[in-house]
Amino acid sequence: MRSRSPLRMALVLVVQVAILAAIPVRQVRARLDGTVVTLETVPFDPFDVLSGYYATLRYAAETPPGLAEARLAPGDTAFIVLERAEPAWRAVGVAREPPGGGVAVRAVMTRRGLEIVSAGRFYVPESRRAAVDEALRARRGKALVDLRVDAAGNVALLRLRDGERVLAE
Amino acid sequence: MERASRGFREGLRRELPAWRAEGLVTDETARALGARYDLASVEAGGPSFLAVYVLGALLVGAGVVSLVAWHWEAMSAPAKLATLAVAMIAAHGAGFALWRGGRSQRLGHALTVLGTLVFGASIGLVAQIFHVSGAWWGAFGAFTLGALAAALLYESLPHLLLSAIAGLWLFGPGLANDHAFVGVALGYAGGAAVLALAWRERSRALLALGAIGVALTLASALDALHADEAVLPMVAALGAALAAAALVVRDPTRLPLAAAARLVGRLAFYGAAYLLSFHDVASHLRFEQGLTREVALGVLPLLAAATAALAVGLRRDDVDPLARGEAMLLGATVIAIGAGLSLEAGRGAVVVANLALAFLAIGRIVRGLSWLARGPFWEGMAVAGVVVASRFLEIETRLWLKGAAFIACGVLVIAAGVAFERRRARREEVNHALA
Repeated sequence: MRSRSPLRMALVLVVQVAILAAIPVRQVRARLDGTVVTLETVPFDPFDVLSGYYATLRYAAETPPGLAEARLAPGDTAFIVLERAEPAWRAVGVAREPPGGGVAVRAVMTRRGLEIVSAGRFYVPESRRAAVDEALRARRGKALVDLRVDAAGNVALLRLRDGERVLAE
Repeated sequence: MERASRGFREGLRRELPAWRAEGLVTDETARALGARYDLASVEAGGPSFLAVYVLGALLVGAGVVSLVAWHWEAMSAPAKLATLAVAMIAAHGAGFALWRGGRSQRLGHALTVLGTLVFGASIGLVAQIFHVSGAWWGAFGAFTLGALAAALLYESLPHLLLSAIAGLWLFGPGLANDHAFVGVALGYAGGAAVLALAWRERSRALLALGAIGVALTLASALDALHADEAVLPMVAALGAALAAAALVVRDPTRLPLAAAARLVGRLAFYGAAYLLSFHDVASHLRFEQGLTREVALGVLPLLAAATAALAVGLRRDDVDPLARGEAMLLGATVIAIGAGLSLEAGRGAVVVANLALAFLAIGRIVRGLSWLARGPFWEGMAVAGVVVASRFLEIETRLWLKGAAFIACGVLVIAAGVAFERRRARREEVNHALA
């Protein structure tokens, strides 16, 4: 190192901290001013529901009405429009732009279909893994997920539930 | 002070007192040698010392991580984030202070590397805390940026090596698999960046790691584009480009870098040509659709780089003729392989690959014999031996004939080796006599 100015170390730390801060920026935004929504998960890989440190989740809302008509290509971004229902909100349509009113989550068309990619993993603490795995297997991957959705369609996962029982948060 | 290796200086430091005592050198000569090789200064420790420090720092870091993990689940999100920030700042701060102080520079350097590794671990942990989902390779992209920033600001080669591995071995192939054209662009841009940084740092390791990374990224992109048939020609073209790039180097201090480029280029070419020398492989990988856009993307830019470097090298009189011939052979062979793979059953490529390997092997053997250097001689013998053995194994013929051929090859290798070593020994005797 030719120059030994502390400014260099400060710059390294600024860059590395900025990168770390940028990772959850959408989730933080959604947590701060998002609407709480509950979505129902659907079976995805019943033999490996809890893969290592996280549960891989697919949602019933990922097959909204009008998906075929939207003619989305792999890589396209779309917004799944949601409507309040019990026990989970349901998808009522799909749009290429964020709709002005109501709640819509950002999704991406992949080779596997439309996916809410930013809500695809729920990290489960080690002490809860066995219980979560057992509950998800018993219900064949079906569970409820509470999340916050902001106006731009960003989501922040809050908790994973089996009915009223909180599995992980 | 004359540049000399650490081993040479240590050996000289050890032997010089005995030479003085035996009267082999005078006090004045000993002093002159000491001044010439700066024997009075303390050795700061070679790269191996830095590796030991980095390994030690890693173990300490792993211990700290285990202690933190003990209570990790019980900690709140802000406490987790604060722990990560403190660990990162402490490693960078302590490392920088030691490095800056000048007394334990290598230990300080290792601690800054640990700080960057803590940053890398924090990427996964922050994603876990906030339930961030996404493609796995995104984490390595983020790590590459952070490590590259540290590499450039600290002027640190270990950081550069880390960012090259994370960027081109992990992030690049992952990105290319999902976004093929972006992956192709990253492969070439990353390759150019690694070449420039390896040039600046005079680092052979960075050049080799970067070359492997470029091959991995481009191979992943070609796979995603369903152009698997272009992977081996791409590797051969990369080898040709590296061998030709060595011809451009004029700076004497960067000649070891040029030698490394030639070696990595040859190894890449050997690998690709050897696989294409099998009829089944070439037949499977033939260009059924001719030169498609995907194949062109994987091969032509590398071939263009090789041609440009060759054009510069051919104008120079001070370039080693064998190096020039080798680079020309590799460049021309890539074109011939492409043409051969376009023919029915890919037979042309098989013939070209076998001939190219044979010519390269002969070239190395001749270099070894003319310079009486073991490296090129045995490299050529090994290549020739593997090619001959593979052809005999591939050909369907009588078992006794194969056995006889193998015995003949073995006897030939032993005889050539013995003759070569005798010739070397005779030359050394003559040199001693003349001295």
